[in-house]
Formats: sequence, structure tokens, C-alpha cells
Amino acid sequence: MLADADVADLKAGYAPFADKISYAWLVKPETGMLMVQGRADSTGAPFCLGEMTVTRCMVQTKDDIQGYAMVQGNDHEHARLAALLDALLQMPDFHAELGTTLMAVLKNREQKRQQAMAKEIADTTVEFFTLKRGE
Amino acid sequence: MYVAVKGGEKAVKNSQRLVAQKRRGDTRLQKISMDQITNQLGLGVDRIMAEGSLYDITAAAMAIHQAQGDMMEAVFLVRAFRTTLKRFGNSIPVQTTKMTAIRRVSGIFKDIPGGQILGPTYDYTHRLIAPDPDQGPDAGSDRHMETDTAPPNHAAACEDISPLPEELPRVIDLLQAQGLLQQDDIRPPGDAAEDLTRQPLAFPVSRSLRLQALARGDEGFILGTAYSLQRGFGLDRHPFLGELKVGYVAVRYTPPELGFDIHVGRMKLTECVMVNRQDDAARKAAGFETGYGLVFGQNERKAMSMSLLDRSLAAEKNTGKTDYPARDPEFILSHCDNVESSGFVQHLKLPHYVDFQSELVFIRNRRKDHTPDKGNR
Repeated sequence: MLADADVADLKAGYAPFADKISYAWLVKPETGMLMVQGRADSTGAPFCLGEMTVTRCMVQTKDDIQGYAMVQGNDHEHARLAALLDALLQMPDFHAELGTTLMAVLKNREQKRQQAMAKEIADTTVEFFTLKRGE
Repeated sequence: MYVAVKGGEKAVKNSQRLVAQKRRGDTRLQKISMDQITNQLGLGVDRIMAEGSLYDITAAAMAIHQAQGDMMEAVFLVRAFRTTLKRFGNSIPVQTTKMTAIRRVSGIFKDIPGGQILGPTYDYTHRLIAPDPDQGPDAGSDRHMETDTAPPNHAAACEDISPLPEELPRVIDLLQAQGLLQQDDIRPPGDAAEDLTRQPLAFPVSRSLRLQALARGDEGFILGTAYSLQRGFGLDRHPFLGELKVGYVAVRYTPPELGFDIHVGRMKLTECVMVNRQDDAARKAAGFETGYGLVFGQNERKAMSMSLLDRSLAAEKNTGKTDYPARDPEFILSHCDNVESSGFVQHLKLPHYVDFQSELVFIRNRRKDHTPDKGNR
């Protein structure tokens, strides 16, 4: 969820906690690639389809909680925020609060996205029928 | 043989400056932004990502811009860019059966479970160039075309829209259930895939390498050779479109640091399954065989061509030479990469002065040998 989120949402969600935690990098944000695999005939043997640009990083908070993120694209800030939020979500104190703020926002957005897509699909779903000749 | 030549630094620099100028065009016009390219030239971006073999919308848009819209040059730029990036690992194979399909059609069954979803397609457009809605009073009034600003159809907005299905049943499962499919790929699904970027293409080639080569191959080459099959150069029966899907899949990866798999992102893919009848006497019974295509982005033409070639190339895997180019794995797979092809063709622009001198010497000598004795005149 954090990986798919808009950076602006993550920024807003993280802001209230920014001075509450201090962290150190275990892995600084770095951009690289994942080789994305597909499967022959969709369920058969895997094959390499092509790569995807990703950015990953890992943080560790003072309480030894590690946050990890790998996000699509090359936005280091996105990866940093996702990793920090991943760490925060593992702390019970913050988990509840984030659940009602950021995670609710993200859930809502994802729902809206799905709905919009469902509507687009419903609008263009057709039933073809064949015509009998001579009628 | 190439011979190093010196000189021309100034001219080269000026040429680079000139191309930058040409790329910018008339400076009274606004520069195109990357967002405009990703949003309004999305299918071009898709093609660059597929042939550049790197799913990166931003890089593809920048490449299109930098290459002045020259798609192959843009593909080259993306390929060069990917060599600068470290590879973190392999994703878990994407589950196209769980794809959120925005388009899905079948040419063999009209009533497929889940329905036929037309989605965004040019198939039903009139292919008339619409007047630019920003220009002129009549602009946008063409009744054949949905104008860019047409509001989305809200007729159904209040109705309950059924949620996106978790999974669409595969059309070929219908054939499989009836025992009509020939299965010739029975490698255990757990096998690690071979990777063309880490090993040379050696023949005979495995199906996973074949699919990878086709997925990053040139659309034009793949389309043209698939067409040759349909015209009778290697295929004597009409192929059928089992299923064509465009949609989004989740990319998942297991970072070694975590030990469990995480969602990394979503990517748009086009998947195609072609169905061919086959009633080879050598096989047990008549049935159907399939070809598979999967490409980055929305590119139906390429996914369809890829599945035709996947099938035709499978037929020749053990037999070596064939009469038809589109059935010859070496012919297709060695020549479908447009970075390699364009590199080799375009290297002819490099100085070949010494090679050519040797040709001249050779021809002059031949002529001297064959000239009749002029002393008799």
C-alpha cells in the first residue's frame, strides 16, 4: 500500500511523526532494477519479461525497529517515507494512529481507484450476439 | 576493418549542438513536459518500455523527448540507461490470471465468463483525423469522434457497479477442460528462468529465452514476420485469438533482508493467447495448440504477433532448418532486436575508407587482367 501511494499522501501522513522518531540508514535510498518475470501461458514455466526501475532503502529507528521499502520508479523520497512509515507501523503506539489517518486515506484512494476502474470496465463490457442468416 | 580516424572534433560538437537545436524546434513554442508525454503519448511510452526492456515511465518519456520522437533511438537510450542500474533481483512471476483487466476480448467464444471488455481501443474508431479541438470554431464537433474533452458517461454512475473481479477465468481453460489442448511445455513451473541479458542466445533455444527475446523485440519485425505466417509462409491454417487482455498486475518481490514477499508496484501488461488447430498424425489426437504473448504496456498488435511466433517457433525446435523465416528460431530471434539491428546497419556510416580502398584495388586489378591487349589497335 505504501509502495503504490502518492508521495504527497505519504508526506502528509508522516509529517506529524517527523520529530517523534530518529532513525539511521541501514541502506540509503538507491535506484536499481528488478527483473520482472512472467509465466509461459500465464501459469507455466517462468520467463524474464523485462526489468522495472525500483528504489529501495532500509531504516532503523532508535528502538531497533527496521523499516524497509522498495517502490517503483526512482523517487528516493518515496522510498524514504515508505520505509519510515513501515517502521512506524510496526510500533503499536503509532500503528493505531496511522491506521485512522494515513492508512485510511490510502485505503480510501485505492477504493476510489478501483471503483473508477470498475465503472470504466462496466461501461465497455459487451455481449456480442451472432446473427442467423436469412432473418 | 575499421580504422580510427582523427579530426572533426569541432564539427562533431557543432553537430551535437545542431541536433539539440532541431530537437527544441521553434523557441516561440512551449517545450513539451514529461508529464504531457506520459499522459498524452502513453502508447508510445509503452512501446519504448517494452522494447527498451525496462518498465520505467519517466525514463521512457525522457527518451522519447530526447530522441525527438524517434522510437528506436528512444529504445536505444532506455537500453543504455538500464545498463547503468544495479539489478536487485528477480520478481516473483507476475500472476496474469489475477490481472485487473481494462480490456479483454476473445475471438473464439462470444460468451466468456466475465464478459468481453472492450476497454480503451482504437478498434472501433473511424481512423479519421479529427480536427484539433483547440483550433477553429468547428473544432470538436466531429460526430464520429469522442472529443478529448467529452465528459465521462455518467449514465450508470448511480447504479451499482459490480466490483472488479479478483480473477477472470482463462479462456483456454475452457478448451483445457474439454481435453482439447496439446500441452507441450511441461517444465515444472518452479524452474528459474534463463535470462537473455545474462547469457548469449544459443540455439536450440528454450521457450523462456524465446519469450524474453520476443517480448523485447521490435514490434515492426515481429508484426511483419507474424503476418508472413498468416499469408502462408509457415502456417497453413487460420489462427484464432483465444484471449487478449490488457490490464494491471501487481509486481511482488522477496527481499532477502525480509524473507517474505512484498508488493513493489503495479504494471500494465498486454497478454495474448493464440489458438491453432493441429491434427498432426504424429500426435495422439487432433486438438489445439497455443502460442503465448506478454508485453509491457498496452500493445495488442505486438502481443498477438508474439503469440503467433511463439507457436511457429516451437514447431521447429528440434528440426533445424526450415523453409520459412517465421518458423526459424535463429532467423527470428537473432534479428528481432532493434538495437542490435539498427546498430549493425548503421555502423556502415562509420569510416570504411581502408576497406573500400582494398575493394578498389581489387577491382582495378581485375579490370587490368581482363582488358584486351590494346597494342593491336
